[in-house]
Amino acid sequence: MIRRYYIISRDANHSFKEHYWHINYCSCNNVEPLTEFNETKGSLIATLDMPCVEKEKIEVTSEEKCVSVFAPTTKGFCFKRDINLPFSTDPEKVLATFKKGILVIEIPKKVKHFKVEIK
Amino acid sequence: MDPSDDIIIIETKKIDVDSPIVLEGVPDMGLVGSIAVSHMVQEQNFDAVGYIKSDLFPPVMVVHERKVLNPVRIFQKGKIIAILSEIPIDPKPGYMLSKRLTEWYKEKGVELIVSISGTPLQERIDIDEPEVFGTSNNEEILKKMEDSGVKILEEGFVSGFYALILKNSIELNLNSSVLLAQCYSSYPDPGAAASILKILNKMTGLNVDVKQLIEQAEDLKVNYRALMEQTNASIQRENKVDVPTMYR
Repeated sequence: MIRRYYIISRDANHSFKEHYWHINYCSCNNVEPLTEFNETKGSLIATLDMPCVEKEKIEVTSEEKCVSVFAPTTKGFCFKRDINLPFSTDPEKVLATFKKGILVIEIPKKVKHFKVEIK
Repeated sequence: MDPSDDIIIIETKKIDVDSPIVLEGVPDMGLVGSIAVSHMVQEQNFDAVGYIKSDLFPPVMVVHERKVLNPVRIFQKGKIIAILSEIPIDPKPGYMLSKRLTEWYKEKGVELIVSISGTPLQERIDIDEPEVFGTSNNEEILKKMEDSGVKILEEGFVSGFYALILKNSIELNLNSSVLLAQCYSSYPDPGAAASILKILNKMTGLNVDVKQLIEQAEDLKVNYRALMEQTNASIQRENKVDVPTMYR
């Protein structure tokens, strides 16, 4: 499991992200990783091909409507991808694993309505 | 004028081999064919003996070791002829290229055509050694493939450029086969290419070392990223042709 950042508000996330990227990776050329999506009833699985990347250097941030990925490679460029969600998610429930150069992010869909128990 | 006249095969060196075996590496699923043939050609020091040109191909030239080269090239070593494409072949030029190539194979008296590709597998990430599946229009070759460790397709389909090669081969009475390694569908897969080369070593007597291919897999994935992106777009255009529901 790689590091995750949980940001409560969209505004807070923006300022955090801009500040953070600027300090660390502003000189990097960004490239979008090859990405596959697999949507199920309850979640969206995003699979990103990120060769020549160290697991410890991958940053995944999640918001209610967007999940962002950033990772510097050993080849002098960075992978960057913002996944804009067509649904809302619980940012703290987003899970990510990294294996064989492939990042798998499971983004659960927020339950919008549920059956109310009648007492 | 025959439509396949738009495809011109240029032999820069005379290709005069008795009953050659042709190995085809054209970009498709996981770039398995392109990676396998490219590695084989480099590792075994094949001679560049020709190229294929067409106004139907995208306007692309490739640069390798400071040399400007055509993206669809022909290599040869002994009895083996290799066709390597570094551009995805869209359906329209694909029809014409497959027709022209199989006619050329007939002229050359080709003994066997081996088209190299991949079959996407959702669980590929959990597999260390991808399996290789295959089909052929010749029973004897099927037996040889099986003896070399290939799992023969009992049911299924082959689509795209290699399906056309198979179709034309049947019409021209050429022996044709397709090898498909389990692979990632949208990412370059050097591991799947290594599995194919191990099978080809047994089938054709080649001795391609795949150690380097596996060790440099991460670097290769970076190098092949742009071609994979173009190929994914080409596959999407091709997929507008529906496969019968029973095969899905």
